[in-house]
Amino acid sequence: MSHDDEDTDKDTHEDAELSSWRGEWQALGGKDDLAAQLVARAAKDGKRMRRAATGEVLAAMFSTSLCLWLVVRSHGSIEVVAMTGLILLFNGAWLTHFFTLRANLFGSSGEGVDAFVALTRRRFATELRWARAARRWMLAIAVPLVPWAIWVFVAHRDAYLAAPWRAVVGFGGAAAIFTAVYVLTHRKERKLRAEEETFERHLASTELA
Amino acid sequence: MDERAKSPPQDESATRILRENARQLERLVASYARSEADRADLRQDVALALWSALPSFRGDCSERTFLLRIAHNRALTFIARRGLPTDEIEDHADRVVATSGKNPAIAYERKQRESRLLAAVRALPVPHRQVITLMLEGLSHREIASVLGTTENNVGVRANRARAAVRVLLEDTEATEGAAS
Repeated sequence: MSHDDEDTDKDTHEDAELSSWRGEWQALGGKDDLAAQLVARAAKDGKRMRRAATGEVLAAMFSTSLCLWLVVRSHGSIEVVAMTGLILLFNGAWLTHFFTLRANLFGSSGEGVDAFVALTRRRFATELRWARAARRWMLAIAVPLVPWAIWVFVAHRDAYLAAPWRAVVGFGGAAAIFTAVYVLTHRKERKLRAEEETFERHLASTELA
Repeated sequence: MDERAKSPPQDESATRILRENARQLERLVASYARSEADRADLRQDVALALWSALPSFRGDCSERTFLLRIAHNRALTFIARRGLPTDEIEDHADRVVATSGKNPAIAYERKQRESRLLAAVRALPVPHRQVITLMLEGLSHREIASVLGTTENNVGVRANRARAAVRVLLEDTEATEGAAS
């Protein structure tokens, strides 16, 4: 048998093999029509995600307005300007991150797989950078905030002793917010690292890697 | 109020695309997720991604290609998030929805064969699995390249490797089962 004949035999065998696999494969699949149900939930989830995102942006805008109001109310007091400046910087960085990366997270799923892989890698890198920056930012804000809070308490000791709830709400609330943000960003960082490792493991030693 | 007025066009298009490609989507989901709970999650994830991405769809490819792209992309994210291991060929005691068959023995045999093929596909590395699942759906190399956003040559290389691997996995399973019986 010539070399060409052998090649033809092999091709015919492979085509028959593929046809047989296709037949078996295409016989699989459920018969339930879940489309309407899936889309109804997707629409609900999509709207919920949009509401949550809008809520986050509104919260950033609200804290920015509050900071500006505090600056005006304190007639540009140096310590208030310094503290609110840090918060405003944080808000600015967060909003930039939100509008440049997070806003179109699901929309990008329509890209080709290679482009999506590149985008996912970029997302992991940026999200990790953001989580680290947010955690460090919390520490950076907390370092001057703690002595400042002590100074405020000492300076207005009589008022706080007369109405202790003010101290609990003010200082306790601030401490709770800082602790929660710190713990959440730390957890998110660990989760992202695990996801990134798994993602790369699945793509390892392949043409996509 | 009529039904059309209640559901926006985005919902209608997404429902239609999912309905027209339901079986393909189901097979694709099954090639990435074993348990029914995982399949339901991935299915929903794909539906959400389709619903979100539809407004940006400009018709530069067919709706089926668009859906398959989305499904493969979401599957990648899904396995990264879940950390699902690639299945071993031996481990495929899976509930497969088999085709109808009046003879239970024939139906059982078909179900076993289909389960073996599904298990072999699941055992492949992700890039090979992507290509073989699309080939089994009947897509040409050009269409697969369009879904995956890569070149036809790249698809050809992956397809050859994937087919060779599936062949070996199926032969191994048959040999193991033959020895056991």
